[in-house]
Amino acid sequence: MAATVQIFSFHEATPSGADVTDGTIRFKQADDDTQDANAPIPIPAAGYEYSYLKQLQLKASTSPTGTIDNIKFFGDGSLDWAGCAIYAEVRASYIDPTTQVDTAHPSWVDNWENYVTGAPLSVAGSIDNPDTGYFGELVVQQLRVGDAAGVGVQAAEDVTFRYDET
Amino acid sequence: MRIDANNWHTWEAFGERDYHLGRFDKDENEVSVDQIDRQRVRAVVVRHLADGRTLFVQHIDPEKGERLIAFARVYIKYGGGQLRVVVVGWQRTVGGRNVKVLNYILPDGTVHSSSSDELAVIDVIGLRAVNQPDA
Repeated sequence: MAATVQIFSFHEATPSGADVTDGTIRFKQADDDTQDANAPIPIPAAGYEYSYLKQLQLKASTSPTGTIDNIKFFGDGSLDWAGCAIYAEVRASYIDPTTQVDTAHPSWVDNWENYVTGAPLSVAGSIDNPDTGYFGELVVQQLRVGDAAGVGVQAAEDVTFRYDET
Repeated sequence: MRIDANNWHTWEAFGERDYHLGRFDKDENEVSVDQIDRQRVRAVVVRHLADGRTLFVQHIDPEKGERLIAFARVYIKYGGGQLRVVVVGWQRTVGGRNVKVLNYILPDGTVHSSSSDELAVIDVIGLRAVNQPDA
């Protein structure tokens, strides 16, 4: 069979990934993906508030018959959350999210909407038969909330991983 | 075997001196398209796994310098949507430049043919993918 690939999300200082393929991740000011109302990001009177980092990586639970490579990450190009913006980057190594509580990631720029169909974020890495496990760089995302943000849980945004398999 | 948007096709490669290779060997183990003999292959047939109907045939003419391209482009999005797009085509070197044709085959049999290996319209379809059993 073709490889079975899942999207994993990582938390805590010594991370153990959780499969979020069939779910969603929630930007919040806590180091988890739980779909609850705890630790919401407050709307500031001025300036910005930041979520904890979200770090995602692909995992092959069954091996490809050949190779998986050419990994990409993209959205629909439109973040429909008023007053908000997301930073996205790829990293080879994991960051403990608790080290960046309400702090902008050092490289933070408003770039998430740039990674779209035809111009996706490139994710280095590959996996070959007969290997299984995590592969490719981590995709890191962080939400910034400004004073014009809307109150409450925002509608989910679609984002997609893409790869080539032989 | 479950047939869904991530597992809906099979393929066979044919070539000189009765060359033949398929997606599954006699023991039903899956074979990678990397194992297709690029020197001998003359045609790759893509079929629907559910009913065996032929969706696309890619012919390769080595006398024109054509070399086979074969892989799958897979989309996985949050919420469980997955889509496997089968890509077959050929490339050749003309005047020092690489010329290629890629055919992106969707589970419904639609084929998008392009010289680009970054076809945005296929990404759009992947972005909208949802799990559909018996795709």
